[in-house]
Amino acid sequence: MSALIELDDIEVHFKVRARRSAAPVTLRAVDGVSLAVERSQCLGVVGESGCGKSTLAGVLIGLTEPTAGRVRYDGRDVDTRRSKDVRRSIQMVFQDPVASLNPRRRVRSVLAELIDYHGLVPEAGMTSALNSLMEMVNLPPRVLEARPRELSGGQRQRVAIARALAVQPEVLVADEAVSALDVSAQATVVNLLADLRAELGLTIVFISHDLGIVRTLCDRVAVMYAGRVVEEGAAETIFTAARHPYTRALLRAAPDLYRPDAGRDAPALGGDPAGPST
Amino acid sequence: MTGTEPVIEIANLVIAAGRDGVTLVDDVSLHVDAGECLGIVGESGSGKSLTLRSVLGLLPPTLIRTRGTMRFRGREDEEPRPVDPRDLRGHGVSMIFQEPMSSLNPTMRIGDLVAAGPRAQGVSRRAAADQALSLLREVGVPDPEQRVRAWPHQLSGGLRQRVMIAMALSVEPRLLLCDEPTTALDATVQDQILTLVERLRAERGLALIFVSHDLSVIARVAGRTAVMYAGRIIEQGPTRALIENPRHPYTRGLIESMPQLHGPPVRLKAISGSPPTAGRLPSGCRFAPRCPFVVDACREVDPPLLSIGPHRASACLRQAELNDGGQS
Amino acid sequence: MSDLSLIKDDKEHTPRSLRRGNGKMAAGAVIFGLFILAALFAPLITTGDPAEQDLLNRLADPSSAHLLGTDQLGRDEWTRLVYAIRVDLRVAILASLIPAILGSLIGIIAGLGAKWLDTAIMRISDVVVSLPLFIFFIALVGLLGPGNGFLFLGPGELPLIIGFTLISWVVYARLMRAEVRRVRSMDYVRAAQSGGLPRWRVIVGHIVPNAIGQSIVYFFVDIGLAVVAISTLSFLGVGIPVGTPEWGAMIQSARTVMQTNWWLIAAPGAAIALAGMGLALIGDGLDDRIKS
Repeated sequence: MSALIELDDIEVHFKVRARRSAAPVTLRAVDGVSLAVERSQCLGVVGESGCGKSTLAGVLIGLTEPTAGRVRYDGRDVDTRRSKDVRRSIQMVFQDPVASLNPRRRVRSVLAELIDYHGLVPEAGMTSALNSLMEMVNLPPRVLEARPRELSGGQRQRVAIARALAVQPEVLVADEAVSALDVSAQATVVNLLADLRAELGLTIVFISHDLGIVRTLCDRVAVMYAGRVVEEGAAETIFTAARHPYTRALLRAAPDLYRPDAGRDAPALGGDPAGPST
Repeated sequence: MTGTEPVIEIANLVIAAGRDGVTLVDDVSLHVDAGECLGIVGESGSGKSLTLRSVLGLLPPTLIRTRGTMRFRGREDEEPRPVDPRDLRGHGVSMIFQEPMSSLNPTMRIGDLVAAGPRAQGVSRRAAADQALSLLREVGVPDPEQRVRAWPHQLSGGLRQRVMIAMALSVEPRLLLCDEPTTALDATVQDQILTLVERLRAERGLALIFVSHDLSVIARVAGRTAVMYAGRIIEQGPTRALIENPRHPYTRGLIESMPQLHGPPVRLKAISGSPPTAGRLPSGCRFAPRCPFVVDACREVDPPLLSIGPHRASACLRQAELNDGGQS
Repeated sequence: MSDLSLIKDDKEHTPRSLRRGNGKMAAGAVIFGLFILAALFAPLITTGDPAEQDLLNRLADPSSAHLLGTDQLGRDEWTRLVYAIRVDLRVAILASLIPAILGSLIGIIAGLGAKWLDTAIMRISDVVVSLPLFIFFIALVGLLGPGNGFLFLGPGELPLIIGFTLISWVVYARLMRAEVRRVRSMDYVRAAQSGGLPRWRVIVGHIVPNAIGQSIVYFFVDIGLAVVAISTLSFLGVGIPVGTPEWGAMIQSARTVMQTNWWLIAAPGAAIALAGMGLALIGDGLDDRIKS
């Protein structure tokens, strides 16, 4: 059987100049990534800043053009000029709950615009569609009349999820979607994503630096470092029997509530995480 | 070299938005001994950073300390004496911040930044430069001889944080205040910085107050922890005991909502609702509207932080029933 | 598990009067409003004809008949001062509005369009910025002449509006270009794009509304600057012809009697300053509102 999403040797290279006069340098943000996500699966993509995980998200939702490689959705090749329907099928939840909602629009107007444009429900059904979206993300319907600045971080992030769900997608790409939230709000949103996956059969690509959350939510994990996937496998394997030294270092560095001294005897990883290779 | 008497003692601190304004920090008392690290954990808006900043009088201009006393012990053999926050800046107390980029003056070289503290205290240019070099070496900046010539923007986030720590140490503080110093860093770099902070505490006998929203970071560095909620300390105790046997439902909720790296993966238990807005606190216990253990009495009295055993305190009416798990 | 927590209280619930910038905006609006009212009801609060001469009563002192006295031709100064609002504000508003609209459109094109287009627009704007303003106007008026008016415009007004449009669009274009470039990389724009909305809907519905704030602020400041510039040019003889009730021209013609009838200069001067200040206050207050 074939996967719902397949990334085949994806490369995203940027030409950058340090100064106007300098010769351009190629920045390999994503450097040969191949991944497959089955329908209704949750794939965790972990890594530190600059490892290319957010660039990869841009490729998935069709806003970043890969310099090489192929993206297949449901067996068909798709790129940045994908059809309205394919675009609708892969939605994203962004990291910053402040920047991800248009400050001048009420929640209702943002959601209704998308539903209306895609003609997903008849005119008369709009109100009930909006209400059921709010119910899906555990928000009271009066949030529809709110502007983003009247909402807390957790509420905004749930509105952002509602916006993604408004167009009835198959795949949700969450790029550090809970890392800007307080612990209790974080748990609420993580649980919401888990429920949505169970109820709607959503396929989720969960990009995060937080190993604990990835472990809670995902059944497969890909570890990225400097634009490459250095290890990939079933979540439990990664968390209990990681092979790659970087994965092990990441696990050792993650602070643990109950084992504050765990791994302290092992040598910590020195230096800084490598950025995109040039 | 744990001192028997605290380096700093803060009693009944109240911070408000103006004389009659909304109270943001309410009746907070704490103390830290030499060589000890006190962790303060809480969510955004809990007042943890304000409490920390008030030690050096670094509150935003619209906020004032309306009540509270602070006593500081400058030397081992000294008696603690009342102090004004401003007098502690550069004399006994230093602070490191979350954002190392905006906290370092971008127009000064690393060496000059670290030497600025000693220079201000009248140390000669030569001696200050030597001191800067050895401090940079102490905090683990590689190639300090070359790096003293570097500009802040040329360093990675982790190195900038090390430079900031070197600057903090340059005035030979007794107390180091840490305001989420690793929140903006990657996990592996955070690990390095936490190890460094630990080492400095042990080697220099520094007193530390470490503020974070992340209890697992606190668990790594702090021997004792205070949990803040809506401007109050609601539980306090040795960190291990507090995590293994929380005696306030909020602490318990905080722990249960955190994902774990060990044991079978479980669904997170979120705390329902969100923290109250300052100035619109519920009557009685401020956690009551979200508390799974709430009883009628909780909505009538605002429970004070009471001692519940050696070094432990809780502000929950039902703390005894929470002992060793309780029923959830 | 449902979360029925209250929507966070915020600015929306603070009384309007307490919001930042409202004091400045109110003060500015009162000043600007008084000017507009005076211009609209000019016939009711003046003698009614700014051109009416009373040659027997030249350079009269202020009195109940002539609030601000009369000028060298015996025209009522107060009447001329009020009728000048019509000229000055009409020209100033048009000389700001037209470049605001054109410049903003150009800025949107530069910010979101092809790279060569952006480069071309920016180079043209560099050239415009380097023009010496007064020489440019003297040349322009020399070329066009003051003319006899156009539609509802009086003599000398059209060349001024054309001149300002040719120069001021640059500020709006640059402001708008910078703002749309900032906004277009915001997550909510990416979200709208990934929601499949067509390009024009993303631009009109999500980018422009969030990018236009600074241009609106500048628009109000710009009207004030235009009032000052128009009266200055008229004073120098390259704007509205002397004889028209216009503040700069009035100062110009009263120059010779400055020693004795100083108020003939002070009154239009104060009007210029007050109009400029009122508009700057509106802009400043709006700016505070946008930023808070």
